[in-house]
Amino acid sequence: MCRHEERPPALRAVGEVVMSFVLVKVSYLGLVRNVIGCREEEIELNPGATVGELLAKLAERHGDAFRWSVFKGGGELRSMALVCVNDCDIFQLQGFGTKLESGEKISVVVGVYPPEGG
Amino acid sequence: MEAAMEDAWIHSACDMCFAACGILVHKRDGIVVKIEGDPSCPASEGHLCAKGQAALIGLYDPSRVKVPLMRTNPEKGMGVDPKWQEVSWEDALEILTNKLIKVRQSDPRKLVISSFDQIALSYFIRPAWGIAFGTPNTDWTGYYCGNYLHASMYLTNGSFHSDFDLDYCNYAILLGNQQGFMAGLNANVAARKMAEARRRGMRVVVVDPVGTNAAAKADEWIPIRPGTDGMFILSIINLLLNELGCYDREFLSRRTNGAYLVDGEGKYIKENGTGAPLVWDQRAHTSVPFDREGSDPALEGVFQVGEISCRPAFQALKDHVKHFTPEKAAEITTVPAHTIRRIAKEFGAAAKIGSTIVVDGKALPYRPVAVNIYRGAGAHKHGTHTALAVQTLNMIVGAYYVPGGHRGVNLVGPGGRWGPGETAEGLITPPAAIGRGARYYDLEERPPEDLGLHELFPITTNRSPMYQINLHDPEQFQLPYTPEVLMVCRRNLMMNNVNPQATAEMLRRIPFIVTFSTHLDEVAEFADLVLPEAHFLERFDLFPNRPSHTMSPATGHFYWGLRQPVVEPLGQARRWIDVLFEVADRMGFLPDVYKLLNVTLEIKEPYRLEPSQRYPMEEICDRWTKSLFGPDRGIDWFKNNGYHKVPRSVEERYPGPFIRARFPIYFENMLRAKKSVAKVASQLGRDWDTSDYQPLPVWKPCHAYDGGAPPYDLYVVNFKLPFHSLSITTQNPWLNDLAEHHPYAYKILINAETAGRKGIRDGEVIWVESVAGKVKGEAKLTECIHPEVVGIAGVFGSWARGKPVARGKGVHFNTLLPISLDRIDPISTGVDSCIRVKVSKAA
Repeated sequence: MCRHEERPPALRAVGEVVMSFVLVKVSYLGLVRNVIGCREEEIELNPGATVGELLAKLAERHGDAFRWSVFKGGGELRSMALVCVNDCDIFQLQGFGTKLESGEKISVVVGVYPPEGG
Repeated sequence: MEAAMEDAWIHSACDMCFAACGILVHKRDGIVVKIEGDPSCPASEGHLCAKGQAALIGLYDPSRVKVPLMRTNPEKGMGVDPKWQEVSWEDALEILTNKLIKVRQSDPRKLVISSFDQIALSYFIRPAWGIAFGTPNTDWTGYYCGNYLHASMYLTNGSFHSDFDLDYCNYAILLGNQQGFMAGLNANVAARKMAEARRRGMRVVVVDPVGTNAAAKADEWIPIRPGTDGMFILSIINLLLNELGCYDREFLSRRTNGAYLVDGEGKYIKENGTGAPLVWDQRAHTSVPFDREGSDPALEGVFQVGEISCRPAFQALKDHVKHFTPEKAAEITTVPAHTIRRIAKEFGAAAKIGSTIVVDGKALPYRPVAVNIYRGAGAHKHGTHTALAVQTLNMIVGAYYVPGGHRGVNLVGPGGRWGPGETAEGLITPPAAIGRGARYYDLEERPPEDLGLHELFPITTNRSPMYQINLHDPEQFQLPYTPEVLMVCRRNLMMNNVNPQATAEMLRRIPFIVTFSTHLDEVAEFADLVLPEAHFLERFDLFPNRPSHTMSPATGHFYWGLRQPVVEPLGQARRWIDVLFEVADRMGFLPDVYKLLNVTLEIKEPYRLEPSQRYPMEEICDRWTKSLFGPDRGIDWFKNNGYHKVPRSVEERYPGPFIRARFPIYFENMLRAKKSVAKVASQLGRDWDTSDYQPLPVWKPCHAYDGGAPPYDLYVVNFKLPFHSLSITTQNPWLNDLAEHHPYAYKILINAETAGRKGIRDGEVIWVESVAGKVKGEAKLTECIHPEVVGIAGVFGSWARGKPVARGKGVHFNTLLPISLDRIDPISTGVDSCIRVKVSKAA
């Protein structure tokens, strides 16, 4: 299985209100790392957040370099881009709709070309 | 008392070609004394070819590289002594690591990797290393057989290869290939099945400029002018469709896009809203979506959908091929029109359209004919069109993934583990198991950033010639970097790239080259560092053959095995991938490699690689096999037992009737690719010829066809011998012995009558010269070659001092070929491998 056991969301105090949130670790591999200059980071998301929402947040954070590297014009992943949750391709899960839980490890990989042969 | 002598037979896998046949290696007292086929391996069934049996003498070749060597002579060139200095592995690794750190900090894309190793390593493990490093340039395999072929097969049969069903086939046309005659896919199995098929009366027609091994054994050899195979096939299609009325209506209307309506521009007519291609329902007399239940789609006619006049794609094909008449084809191919007509008639009749056969209790269409293609027929400019024409011929008689007909390799996996994808238009795409990105309907209009120029050549997966062109002039496609480090992993780029002079110039420009090699070969002459590579009998390689890529259904099984070391490595030899893993560890990106391997090898819990841990390669493979097959199938099981085998069900051998996705006889995606390529070229400020992107196959002349101006009056082609594969086998003394006794191997074949006109006698030394280069060799006069053609066996003509057996033997064919954008297939990037030459007596 790709998924960890369900974990409770992390808690954080915001003023007097205790807010829950999801904390995931994102690794960047391949050509996307070359252009955003970031190897790994932790991202806070709202409970119930999906891979699609995470990618939107990453696009906002890293700007056009990230968008250009990861997405085609229509917001689809490029054919050479791969997004994994706990080392599992999201298309073996629920795609952009895959829900994220605290502690999960997300990899954004660009440069997965089909193999040559002879 | 004397100590007991060690006497063991060890399971391993051959590596003398890509078939990776299972072998049993007999080891006595530490010495390998015999290699035989492994009866437990479905690919060899206890048999082994000459190459495999000769491998043991290569293990003990005294000219092997035994220690790391560092260049001390800064001058590089063919024949220039590098003045090697021995260095320790530690020093060598430090040099390499420092170079890689520097280049990674500057721009990781400046690293280029060239490799052509066994499947699991080349297609899964090495790319993961490259991605983790950050370079897209990891796939430089050189100029070779599959440049145009794999692209064409992925597009038409959804798989990596072309194959046909020797269990039931009764009539086969081999077009520039020798499948079944110790060449091609699973050569040992295919040769035995071919022999059995011939015994039951199967007819084989070989169409080839050279009277090859296959031609010599065929029922009929048809010598054809090089580069005209596409015309030959299109004229047969024309005859079947327009004169003989011989085509499989049921297959074409239900299993292909033949009924899809296309407009005057060639585009599908699509349903508003859903975007589904429309067909003309003969029952309802109106257009309906292609997948409407109960419809009766028309294949022929002209229809009106709203304001649009349209016709089914099959009608477009019928109309399109009308001008490929046998008479016109005869002028172009030199094959007489009456022969083309006879072959068309024989092929159509042998297809038994409408017949069925019961296999394993299931009634299936029975189409015992196939036309098969491999390198020879398509290795020309416009070669993709030749391959698409061949596949169209197989499809129009319905001989596609059914008993007796054409099939690819393993469109479906065991127990449904993988299967083909399907586009929105219902057309087949390759299974994800063969690797991500082979998506022929997925175009990106942006400037390329890799040396292969993916976005400029979207309908292919094999773009190696573009590496050579880009490295020669890194600025011509505005790549934002210039390569600085080249790592060559068991690949002889000087021998297998086009034109060694041009390749040498290109290699000289790369500041640092490291090569992992068993010998000081032609590439080592340009290397700064040579690292001693292990012989395959010293190596551990998991799954040297993979069901998803190179395993013919003819084996009757899906199977998985390993290559285990039989002896300790000679000297300080190591396996290159182990060295690269150590370098990744030193540079700190090995955890990323592990993460990627978890994904690409689909390693499941509890066997996933933990990035914080370090694993020897054997443990990685142990986790991989257990993840795939369960805890009792670790690598120890494979070492002791050989092969894990799963018999193929009838649905896995003949998936055609059992899958939903359709096969394309009309390549509408080419029109979209044409637009996309034009846009990418325009972004690069280039004027680009996109005329090959058209939805139906055509024949166009390659340069050689049009280039017969005196004195270049002959064509030159190369051909394959069954006992050599790749340039490395030429250094094997036993195989050299075979070649020396072979009438063709080290010679230059010329038709006896042609030679007579030129005053050339058998055995004379002659020059063969093209506009790109000249080679010298002994003339062999024969009737077994087309009168307009000179033939040279591939792989020979080595010149490196470090290959004393191979050096100076035979003729180097690639010397005669130029490299330029103008001489590649504009769709696949396949290099045009024939050229006009003049022949003269050497003084």
